[in-house]
Amino acid sequence: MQTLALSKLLPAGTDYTELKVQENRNTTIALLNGSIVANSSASSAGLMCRTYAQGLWGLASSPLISEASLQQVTQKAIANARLLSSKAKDKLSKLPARPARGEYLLFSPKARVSNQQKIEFLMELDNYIASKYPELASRVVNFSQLEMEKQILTSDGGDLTGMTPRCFIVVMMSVVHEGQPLQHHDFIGGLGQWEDNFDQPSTLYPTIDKVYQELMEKKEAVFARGGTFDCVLDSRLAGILSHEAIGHTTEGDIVLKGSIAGDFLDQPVASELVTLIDVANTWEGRLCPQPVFIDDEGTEAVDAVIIENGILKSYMHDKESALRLGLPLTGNARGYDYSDEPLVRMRNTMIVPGKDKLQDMIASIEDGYYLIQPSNGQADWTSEFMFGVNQGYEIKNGALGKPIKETTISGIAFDLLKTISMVSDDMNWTSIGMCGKKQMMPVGMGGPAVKCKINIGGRS
Amino acid sequence: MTQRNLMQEIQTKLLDQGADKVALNYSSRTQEEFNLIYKQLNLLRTVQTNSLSLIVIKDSKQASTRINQFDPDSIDTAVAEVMQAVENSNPDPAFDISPPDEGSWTTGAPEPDVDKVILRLGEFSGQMADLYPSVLYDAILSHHKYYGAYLNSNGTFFEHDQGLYNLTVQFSARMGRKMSSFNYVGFAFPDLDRELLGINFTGEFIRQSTEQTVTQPVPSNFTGPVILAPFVVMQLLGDFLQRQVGDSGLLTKSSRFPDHLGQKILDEKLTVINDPQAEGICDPGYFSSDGFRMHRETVIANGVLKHYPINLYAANKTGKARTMGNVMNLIIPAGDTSLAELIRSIPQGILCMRVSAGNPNANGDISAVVKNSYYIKDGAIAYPISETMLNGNLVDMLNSISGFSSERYYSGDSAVPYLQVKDIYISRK
Repeated sequence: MQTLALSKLLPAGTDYTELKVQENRNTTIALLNGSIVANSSASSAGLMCRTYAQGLWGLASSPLISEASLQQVTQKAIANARLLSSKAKDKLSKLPARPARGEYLLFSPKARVSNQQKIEFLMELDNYIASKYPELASRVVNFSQLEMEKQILTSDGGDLTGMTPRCFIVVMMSVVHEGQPLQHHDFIGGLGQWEDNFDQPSTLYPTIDKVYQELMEKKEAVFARGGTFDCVLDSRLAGILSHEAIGHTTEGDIVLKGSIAGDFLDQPVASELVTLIDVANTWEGRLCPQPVFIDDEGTEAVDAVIIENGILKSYMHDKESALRLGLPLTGNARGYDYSDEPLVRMRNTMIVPGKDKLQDMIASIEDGYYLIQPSNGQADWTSEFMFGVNQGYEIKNGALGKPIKETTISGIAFDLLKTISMVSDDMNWTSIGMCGKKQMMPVGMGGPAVKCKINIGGRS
Repeated sequence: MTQRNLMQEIQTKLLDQGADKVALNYSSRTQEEFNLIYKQLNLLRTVQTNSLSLIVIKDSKQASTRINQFDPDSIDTAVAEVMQAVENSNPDPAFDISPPDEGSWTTGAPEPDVDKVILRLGEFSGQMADLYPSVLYDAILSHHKYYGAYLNSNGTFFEHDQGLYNLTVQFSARMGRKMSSFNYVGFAFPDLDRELLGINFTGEFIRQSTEQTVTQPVPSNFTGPVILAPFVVMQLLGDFLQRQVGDSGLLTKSSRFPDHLGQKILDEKLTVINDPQAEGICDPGYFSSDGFRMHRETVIANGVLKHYPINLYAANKTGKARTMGNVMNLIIPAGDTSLAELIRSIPQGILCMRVSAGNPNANGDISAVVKNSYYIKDGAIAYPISETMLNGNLVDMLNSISGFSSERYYSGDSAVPYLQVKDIYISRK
């Protein structure tokens, strides 16, 4: 990425200013039934200035990366802030600061794998599927990689140079059963570039075989019954529970917009078994899927303990929400593209594992469901949430029963958390999805399996 | 250098380096974005973005790259990388580019009227304070100056200069500890001649949130009619068009209708049109990303599939004709019955204003949480609901339509009415 000497370009005389140069790089290679339908790369680079004057923000950006361009953009940002300030009624005081400086360039130390080598790797996966499972109606092998590289300098002393990569290989299969299409997929990957995540094609064969087996199970799948049931949410679902059900309601800007979580600080909102944290970068000595050391406002990123033993303890903040609520900065401000303003975004939101065993949790349910793989989800300021479930099973008399068709689960998060009666001792992180909140943003999420009562969509 | 000259220069470089066919998509946007956050003016963004996609076919192999830096070194690097990538791809005779054509369009106001933007926002926040003091909201009023162009080595060139405004409002009502689910509106519009609350029922949707602070589930599980609001129709029909008769459904062979041209696949009351020239469309798609001029075409006429809305690659790959391309301006004709009359016709049912749902599965099965919605009893709105789900099959729903409203919602690129379907299973917690 082209960088600039930002320190000499910071304007004088503003209440607060941040300068950013950023490049997002995407790579996609997609095979559909053996044909390479996408072999593409993309880059979006540019610079941005955001400035704060008498409680209001001005921002300007340009894809042209040069000192002259940044000076023009800075003048425009200042003019924008002044234009708004002249109309403003409510003028805030000085923004809080806990600046940090650092370089976090997470490039792989391994030798680069070429585009040709990646294609050969993916073709080998496709050949494995095609030869072992010839009855499939279609197969997709899709590699995607995102690298977000940023250079940020703030007038209160924040200074970040960073590059955070993530990549995945998704395997999807479909089959026609009794005239109806069935699909299933899974993925491998996470933090890092290709070189950090993929070594030999054969290491992905178990995932491929599992996708096929689970697809075959869908031939026998039954509709769930609509209503509220005792359920075990697998550790693969815990992350989206943390993110959608609780996380969004405790983002500082959403609290200011009326989130129900604003009423519950220091009050019990969950079973005592529940501790929920938005981890900044490191959990138990290992980097999380989306490590953030310094956020896009130059603030040192620290863990936000949101729920501790069932008590709502804190929220996540950018500078403005921390100022408005009078609470400490957490370093949750991030913007997706070079032109985007930082917003309060989750980093790695997780429920802390407990002591129960998954098999004991399933055995404890007489009539319910074991729900395993999530799809998309949505949150609400009321804490009512939903997410799709791609894979699950009935539980009958403490044992797994028939697989169920795709469904949707929902609930009121602060009610559901109180029904959590068991928490498993395992842990699963994921980060494949994008969180949408004006801008897209990669996030990490994780947790153990939990037993709870939840509303499930279905037919009966 | 004009954008066309830049594109021609890059096309020449790619052809000189051995490309058989080349297609380029260019776009640039200048956006002036006024943000009301926490109910007050908070942020003014001036954003410039641009993008150029280079698509290369060589020996029936394809690769692409997208850049936004147009200095000579960046262009040469992109050309070299995409030419290397195309060598690494594998051949597929379905890759191709569009035949020769040319067109140029200019629409909308090219520059924002900043004074009027501030006037309209001030008027909006004043009306919100007066009419809906319990409503918490963010609002973004922006002007977009957009230029898009397509050029390929068959001699095709299209360009579209466009200016339009966009309004997004996200809102929730709160009274004490009772609050509504958040809701939102978002649409493009051509000018600032009308007050913002009066466009596209925005004021009415915000008013509804004030009565949604106290909700309850439906009294019991039941099967009954559901009126789907236009945004829900757009969401569900968009999924159907993509996954059942569009590129992804046909290419992955997960469509239930892979060879159904000319057959009745949906309710005979349903007609679906793509029309960039339709009344009320201020964000027209005059040409497609695969390089074809877009015309008014009826995708589904009285339930009969008239066109597969697929791009050139999907058409070639599946052995079908590319007759219209992907839907860019979705139009569903209005009915002759008002929404109020539709409600009066329902003994027990739901007025579904928003759904929060996982994607339907390949077969079309869907379960969705209804939000900002109402229980209908004896032909009248009974009360706002929560913790209620609708469960059904998307194809079945679109095969059991009982009517459309005379009111339509104009999002800028589409015009869609309320749609009533007959029997959906409704479950409560």
